[in-house]
Amino acid sequence: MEGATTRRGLLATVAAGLSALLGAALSVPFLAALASPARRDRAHPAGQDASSGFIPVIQIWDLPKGQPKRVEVTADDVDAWARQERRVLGAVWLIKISREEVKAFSTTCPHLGCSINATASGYGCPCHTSAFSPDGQVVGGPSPRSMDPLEVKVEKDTVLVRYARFRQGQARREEI
Amino acid sequence: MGRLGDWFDQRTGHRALARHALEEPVRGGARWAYVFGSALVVLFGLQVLTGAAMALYYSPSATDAWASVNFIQNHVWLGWLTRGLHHYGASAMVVVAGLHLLQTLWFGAYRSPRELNWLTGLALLILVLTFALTGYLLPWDQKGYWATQVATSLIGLAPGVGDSAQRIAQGGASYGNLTLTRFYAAHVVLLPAFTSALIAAHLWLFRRHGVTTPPWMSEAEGEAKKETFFPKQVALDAAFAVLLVAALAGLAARSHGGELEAPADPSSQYLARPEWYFLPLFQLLKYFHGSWELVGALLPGLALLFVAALPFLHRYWSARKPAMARSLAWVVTLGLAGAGVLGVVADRQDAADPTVAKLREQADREAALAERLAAIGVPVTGPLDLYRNDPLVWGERVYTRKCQTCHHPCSNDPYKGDPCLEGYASREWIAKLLRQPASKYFFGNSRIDEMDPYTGEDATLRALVEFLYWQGARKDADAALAAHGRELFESEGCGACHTLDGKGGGDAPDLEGYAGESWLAAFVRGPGGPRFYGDKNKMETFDHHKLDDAEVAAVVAYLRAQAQQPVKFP
Repeated sequence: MEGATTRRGLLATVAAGLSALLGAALSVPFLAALASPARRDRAHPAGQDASSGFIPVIQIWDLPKGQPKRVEVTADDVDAWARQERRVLGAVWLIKISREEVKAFSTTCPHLGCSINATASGYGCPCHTSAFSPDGQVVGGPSPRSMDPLEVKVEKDTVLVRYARFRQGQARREEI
Repeated sequence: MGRLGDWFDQRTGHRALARHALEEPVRGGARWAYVFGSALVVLFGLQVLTGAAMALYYSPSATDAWASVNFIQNHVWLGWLTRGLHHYGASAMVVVAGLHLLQTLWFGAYRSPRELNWLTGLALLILVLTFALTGYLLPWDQKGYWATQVATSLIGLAPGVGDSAQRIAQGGASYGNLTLTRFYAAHVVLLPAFTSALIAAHLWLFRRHGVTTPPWMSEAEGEAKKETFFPKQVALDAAFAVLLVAALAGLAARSHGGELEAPADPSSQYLARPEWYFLPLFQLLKYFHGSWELVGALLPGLALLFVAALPFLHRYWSARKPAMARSLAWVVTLGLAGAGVLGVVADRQDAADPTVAKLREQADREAALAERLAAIGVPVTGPLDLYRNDPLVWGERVYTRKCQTCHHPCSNDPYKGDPCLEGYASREWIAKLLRQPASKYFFGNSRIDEMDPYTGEDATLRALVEFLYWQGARKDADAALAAHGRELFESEGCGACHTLDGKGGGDAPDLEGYAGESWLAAFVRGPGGPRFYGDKNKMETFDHHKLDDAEVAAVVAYLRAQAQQPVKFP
């Protein structure tokens, strides 16, 4: 009788163990697919790097001096599998200082990512009323840091911007 | 932990439910023959989980479907394994469902009062096949596209309602975005919902009537040898399922995922073949023609009706003949074996057919090419524009479609086309043209017979050839020899018909810049102009309605590249 009990116990362990193994094995594909975007190295096909270089956005003479102008950024880009020429990546605020010098700010609010407008006193975010001075410093509202500056240069009268996105909601500026 | 369990149990009664599930009596004892039912549940779970994984990426549209599946296969973490498991899992469901059916049949577990177990089981089998049919199309590759067309065309054969039914099935008069959204909705929403409900009903009915005592035992013996479902039968079921899943993973690893052919191309020549479990039906259709085709399509339906009627037939006959159960089991088993034979015949016929092998090889080549071109992303306009990623590849495709209808492949035997252009404007090709312009590979089949064969010495021929070759701005042309050829052009009589001024007006095409980029582009656009054949022209004019500028440029690039290819005719 005791032998039968031991045998039953062993079978019970085997049954439970195999079932657990099966459950784990079946979950692997879904968990891998779910977590795949966290693996940056292989999330996209090659040629995705549209946003990493300087992108021509406008001719210098089309910018009014000293006044911020919102300019679209378009570049050849791959969204997951879909390759598109001149896809709209986003927009930037450009301020012409001189014929050789331009300042650029991201139009994305560092708070929670709404789009920043130009206001009478500088810039402001309509979502949560963060306010920024003309040189991008926070002067009011919940934004944890000033507007995100972007690298910009002028070559042969063409303004080029290195478009970038930043992590939101924190004081430290961190490119993503 | 125990207290939390108590709290939960007081509210849900989950312990009693688990006991009820695990302590199910198995009459006659646990055995390997009973593992197939739960293996099917495990396989369904596998399909749900791998399917959900792919649904995170898959996009059901004619422009995106192929690209997203290719993305799953090549860019998602373990995506190839997920696709492979889903692909082979579908086949495994058909196999295991077949085994489950045979086990039920030979153990007599379909007999009264289990008629509804049998019928819900058959309905589930049909659902499994419908899953396979709808899933096959989703990658929008050549195989799925063309094989599924056959199924929806069969629907169209139905008398009276055929046309409407076909439109409903495919979301319109022809295949496109609406076909994909429809098949996708069926595959991931409707069919899983029906299947889950039917599995629940099937299991409920099974528990209601219990395990059938094996036919070689008396009821008393079965009752004496009774065991509970847990632990032994659970252990056997789990062991089989683990082996099954491991085998599927092995198959997926061997082929590195599921097959993905080139993107669906409605204009292409493709040999449609269904997945293996539909091969018997496919073979059957070969034997029925014209109005009999409908009979071929209905025959499997009649067989299915017979199988569905089995419990009722048994009840009717067994009163007279007690051994009826065995006879019926034999009939169905032999029927299945017959279907298997049909499938093997279909496979053998294909294996023995060189045309099939050739088309198969071409399909594999195109699949590899599409995958390579997709490495930098698929154009938003759809995967067929992938080929525009590479001008030579695209040029060949345009050439195959638009030019090869007259300029046949040189390997055609007997050759009945206009001048064969493989190896076009290479030195060898030009030399052959000069020596035998009336050959069937040049103007023999056209109605242009005014060019005399060149009968001069090989040395002067070489100089003339070099001169013409040099016209095409070839980097490897010998300028000195070409200059000598230029002198011979008039003295050897070429200039009597051919001009060299870029304007033409002679009896034969002007040869300035012959086979160069602008010469070829102008020729394709207007072979009947004074610069070329004039009113002697027999070739179609490819204006902007037939080829856009980019397509002409691609064809020109392809033809230019031919000068580096060997000539493929004697």
